Amino acid sequence: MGFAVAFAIHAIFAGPFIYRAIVPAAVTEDEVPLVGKPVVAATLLKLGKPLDPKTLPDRIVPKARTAPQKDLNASKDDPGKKSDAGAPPPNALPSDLQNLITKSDPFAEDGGKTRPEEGNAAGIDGGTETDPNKVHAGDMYAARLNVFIHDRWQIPTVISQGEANRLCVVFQVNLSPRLQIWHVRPEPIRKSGNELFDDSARTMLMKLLDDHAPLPEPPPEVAGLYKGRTVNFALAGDVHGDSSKCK
Amino acid sequence: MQMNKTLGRAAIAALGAFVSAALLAFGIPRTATAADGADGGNAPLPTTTDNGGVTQVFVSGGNRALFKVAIAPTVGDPAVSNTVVETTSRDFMLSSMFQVLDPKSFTANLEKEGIAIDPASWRNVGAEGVIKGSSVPRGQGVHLELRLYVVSRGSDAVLTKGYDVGQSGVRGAVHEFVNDVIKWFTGTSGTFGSRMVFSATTGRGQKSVFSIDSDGQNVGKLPTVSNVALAPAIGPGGGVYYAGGLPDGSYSLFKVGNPAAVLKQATGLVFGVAFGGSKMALVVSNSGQSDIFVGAPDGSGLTKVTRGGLNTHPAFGPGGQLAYVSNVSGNPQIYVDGKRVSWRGTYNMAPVFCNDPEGSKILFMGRDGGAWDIFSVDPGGSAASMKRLTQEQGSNTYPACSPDGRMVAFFSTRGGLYTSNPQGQNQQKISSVTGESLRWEGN
Repeated sequence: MGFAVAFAIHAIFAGPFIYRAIVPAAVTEDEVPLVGKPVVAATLLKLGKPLDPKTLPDRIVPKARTAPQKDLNASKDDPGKKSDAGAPPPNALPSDLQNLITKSDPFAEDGGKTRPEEGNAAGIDGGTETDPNKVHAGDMYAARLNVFIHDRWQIPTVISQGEANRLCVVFQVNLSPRLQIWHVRPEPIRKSGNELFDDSARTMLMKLLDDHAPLPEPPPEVAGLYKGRTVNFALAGDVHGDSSKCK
Repeated sequence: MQMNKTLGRAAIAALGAFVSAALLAFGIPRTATAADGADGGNAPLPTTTDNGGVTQVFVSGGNRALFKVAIAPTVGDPAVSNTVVETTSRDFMLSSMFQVLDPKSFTANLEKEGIAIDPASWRNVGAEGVIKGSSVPRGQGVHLELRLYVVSRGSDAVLTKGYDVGQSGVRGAVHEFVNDVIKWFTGTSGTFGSRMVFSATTGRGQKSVFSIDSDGQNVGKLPTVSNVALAPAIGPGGGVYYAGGLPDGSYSLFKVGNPAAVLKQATGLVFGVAFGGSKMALVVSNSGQSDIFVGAPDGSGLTKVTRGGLNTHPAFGPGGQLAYVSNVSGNPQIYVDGKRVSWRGTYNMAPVFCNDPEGSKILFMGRDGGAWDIFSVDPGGSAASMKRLTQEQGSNTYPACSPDGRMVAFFSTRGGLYTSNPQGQNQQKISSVTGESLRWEGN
């Protein structure tokens, strides 16, 4: 009697899986086999003023931050959200204060006149491209994730930008269903060749792990690729987004 | 009783079934499918592997952060220790690469550690690197040992250097060590311990030539043959050359320490000189014209390389390119080998090449209203590549660039000689002297 009950309960729960394993074709008609596609992060137009080739350029001054950096608003459909960050949120954690300190530009200067940088009036905060002809559509979440990581990753200045442009390190992490990093594989699955560079990337990921800081919420159509998944972060030092060094 | 046993077995079996189902549901790696996307795969998706469903995310660039370094007092003579700590701290700060930690924050037991380190103690205060050292008397001088530790590399020093110097040579040894530290990190040595030369007004109608160390120390007036000494430059063998005005109204090329004019065959007034790439450039004025002649450093084979207009301020690039100022197009602009490279602004002058690790640049001063500021431009000369290093910070003039391209020096009406990185950041006043025609040894 007991064996019969046990078999029946097993059959109820395990049956579909066993059936799938035996007859895979019967259940794949409505599922498309996985095909790897290169992520094409959107290139966003930088907010600013057009270059006047006749006048002298303005100095670009890194500003000391007094408030959390504004969240990237990648949507042109909702310009109303482009408000100033204002005071820190009431539920700010101690780590947020630490972020404020660590995220400040090492050569930030206080005060001074805020001058618009070269860009385009139709651009957005967080945009990087000054030439409207080079802006292209792409994965907006990838662009947002890129900004999220970029803001938290500190590459030491002893690595020149020219050297950093040649480096890429790949770390593997595990994300929880709430998009928090719960494990970082200590050794990179692809080293950059510069241990300080690799250390800086590892430190950033470990800090995200320690802070239980979740990644930005992805749109529903790609959430399954991140929530509760193993993710390889390919971290390249090239600020212009050249991924060729990661291959 | 039998019924209870049966129910018990059934319960165990049911539990087993749940465990099996859970293992099947969660234990087997799930392959990402296009069905994960609501649009059926039309939107671009991050790359996923075919065999494990690992999502690939590409991130480009990060913020820049100074490398945090602790400089501990050296073991031995306190006076030597002070010189080591002060000189190292100053060099690191000027390099725009390091943040020197406040010694008050140190929690390590320095006496117990000696010249070694306990990495955990330094990691706790945020140090990424530690400088330690010792000094012992040796003969009339001192033997100095300096070490660099990188905390993430453990307790073994990554760089150890020894120096036997006189008491007055400690600062030079420290400069050498800092240059080696920079080389350890970047592959290219620093240039601390080099010097700059410039001319400055010393009285009514009088100008003299001065030398100053690249960290702002040891300012000194150099002996010249006349009261009007202009446009100094450092030539082969470290000799300082300048244009000297003579009582008869003529100007000739002189070398410090030599009372006789170096060039006697120049047909005109010599108002400037530059050396580089085994060549020499002279500014020669004749009949209201000013032209640039290029030849060998000994003055042989001088050939005029400019045609028309007033041409001044020659400077050689790393490949022997010649930058200079010319008003041949109407107002003073920067030219390289005859091609105009400054296309913004109405009055640009005093160019110098800067072998910046991020890419070669030309630095120059440009007039903006009533003030002068420092600018850079790519040698190709595109308008978009022109950057501004100073703005609304007084008047800033006569840039010079360190031989490694990592530091820029200039005079400022803010009150002295300033240095910055090639982007104009980390501006630091290193001396209260002001002058003109600043040149950095080795560039």
